[in-house]
Amino acid sequence: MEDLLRIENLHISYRTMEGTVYAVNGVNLSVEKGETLGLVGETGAGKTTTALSILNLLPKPAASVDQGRILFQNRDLLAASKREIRKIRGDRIAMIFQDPMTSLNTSFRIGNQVAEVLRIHRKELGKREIEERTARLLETVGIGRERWDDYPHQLSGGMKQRVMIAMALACSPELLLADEPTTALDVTIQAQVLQLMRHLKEEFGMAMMLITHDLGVVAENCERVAVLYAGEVLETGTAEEIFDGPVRHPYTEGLLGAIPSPDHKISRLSPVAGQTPDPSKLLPGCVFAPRCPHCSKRCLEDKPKERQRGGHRIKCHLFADKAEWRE
Amino acid sequence: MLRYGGKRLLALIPVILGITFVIFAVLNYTPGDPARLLLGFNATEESVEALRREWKLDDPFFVRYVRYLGGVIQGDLGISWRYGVPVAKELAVRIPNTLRLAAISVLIMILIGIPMGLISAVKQYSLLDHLMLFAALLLTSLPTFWLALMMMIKFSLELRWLPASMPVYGAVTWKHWVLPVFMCAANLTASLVRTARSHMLEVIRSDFVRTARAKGATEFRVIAYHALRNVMMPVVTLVGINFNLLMGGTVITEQVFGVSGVGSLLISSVRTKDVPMAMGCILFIAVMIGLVNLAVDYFYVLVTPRLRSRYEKKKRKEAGA
Repeated sequence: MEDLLRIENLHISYRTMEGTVYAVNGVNLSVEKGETLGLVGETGAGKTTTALSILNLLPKPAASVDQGRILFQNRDLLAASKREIRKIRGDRIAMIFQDPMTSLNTSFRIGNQVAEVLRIHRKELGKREIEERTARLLETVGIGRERWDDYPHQLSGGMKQRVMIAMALACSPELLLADEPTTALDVTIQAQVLQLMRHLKEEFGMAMMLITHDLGVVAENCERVAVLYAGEVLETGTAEEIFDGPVRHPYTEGLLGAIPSPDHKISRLSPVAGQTPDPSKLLPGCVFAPRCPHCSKRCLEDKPKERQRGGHRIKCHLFADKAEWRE
Repeated sequence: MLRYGGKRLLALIPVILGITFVIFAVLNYTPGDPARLLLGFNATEESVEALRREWKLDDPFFVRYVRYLGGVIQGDLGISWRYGVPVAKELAVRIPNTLRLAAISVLIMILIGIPMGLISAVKQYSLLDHLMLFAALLLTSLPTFWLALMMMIKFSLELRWLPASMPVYGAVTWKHWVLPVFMCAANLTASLVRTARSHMLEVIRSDFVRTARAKGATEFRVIAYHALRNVMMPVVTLVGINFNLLMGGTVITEQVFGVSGVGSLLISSVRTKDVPMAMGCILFIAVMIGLVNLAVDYFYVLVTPRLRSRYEKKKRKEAGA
């Protein structure tokens, strides 16, 4: 299958008062047409930074993309002009943000905020047509058209996020970047929103990058998964390979061990010991080595290369000697 | 919305009553006999007594306060103890000067200060931003009276472009207003630039602005449509506060340039214990501050949907039924 989006060797850093913070260090990712890629990792792993860089939405001038390419249908978005990026934003790649409470403009009616996307990208449409489409979009996400004139403060958190989704879907984008779309919502609303997104994804045939730290959400929604840690992708594979396969990256193993399960009667969860490394210092060896139960001398000195078996890729020295795992 | 305005207007009455009471009490209970102050220390005890009787100073405090209020309600602000002219007549001369000075200064503040602050924020860390910040810092830190004197030396004495003060006789032209307005506006405009800049910086980093960018909106649209509206509240608040400051606070400007405004009148009447005159000035300032605050609050309600819906609730229900 053809890659819709391919990120190659992406490096992003933030300049802060305390020094440079290396947020993303050589990320490689790809999203195929129509598939859902789950991007999982702890807070600070670089998930949001990666997503924001795709649409060139990183906070300027603090953040800078130091290296890499982001290819969207073989076009490098990092090299695109502001005008070109603007044409892609909202039209061909749309984004949903983590916090629906603050992501809508409190001064404008929600209908207008959804319609704005169409007004920007579908200039050929008449006023009537835009209003009709907006009303239908609102209905698609389960908000009655009579709420067109409501302001964000009149909606619940879940409804606000659905307005965000309507906004993102307005132009039927080929790729949807969903940055923790359900983190700020309570569990029942979370399920509703995810179900809606799944349903809409099938209906519109779009690809999705679902960013989350919730592995349950990933298991239910994603075909493929990339595990991000300290700005590096440690493992990529299908959902089956990650969740049910025989081998995994020690970090992924640790993450799965930290999920409570009603089936297994264990008295204690086993969280991954230790903390994520200081992002202002780059480690010479494997980023996970300081917390890894299998850590050896080599892991601390040498950065492991990514090895793959089929589509399953792992960055770990444990797989270095196995013949079926090739570089 | 109209009801809201009406309610707020009514609420002004007790506020103004309170202010007049406090000021009246302060003027009354602070040491110094107004009659003695006017006649001088060489005057005889009898003439002072006579004046006190004429002004009814020996009546109890409350009687005098109520009598004063009664006059005010009937539109009679009393007669100045010092000049013997009706207070209303003197204020009629002073108020237009103060209002003109304040209005032009506020206009300049709005037309120059707000755009400068916003541009500075949008072009953060650019050369333009640095220059504007430097200018703003300079203008806020320099004492205005010093700046005024320097301007006077440069533009009036050396270049002879502008008159140094209001004419005692003859017509007042726009040239007479340039330096006083500059002096009133400089400092406040500078503070507005910095406020507008810092609030704009906050807003353009907020999530909803990022959403607007993610929609593919042009940078101009993001700033002028999405950000601007959300930055107006704190900015308008400061404009209101500045206007209020100018109502009574242009004393230095008035002194330096010989503008006869309310500020200097208030200071001199308090010093000479000219109670009717001082009360008249206070009354004017209090009413103006009340009205400007009302206007600012009204603006809030207009631009903030959350507040507006509180006052429109009734209409919505009727429409729904």
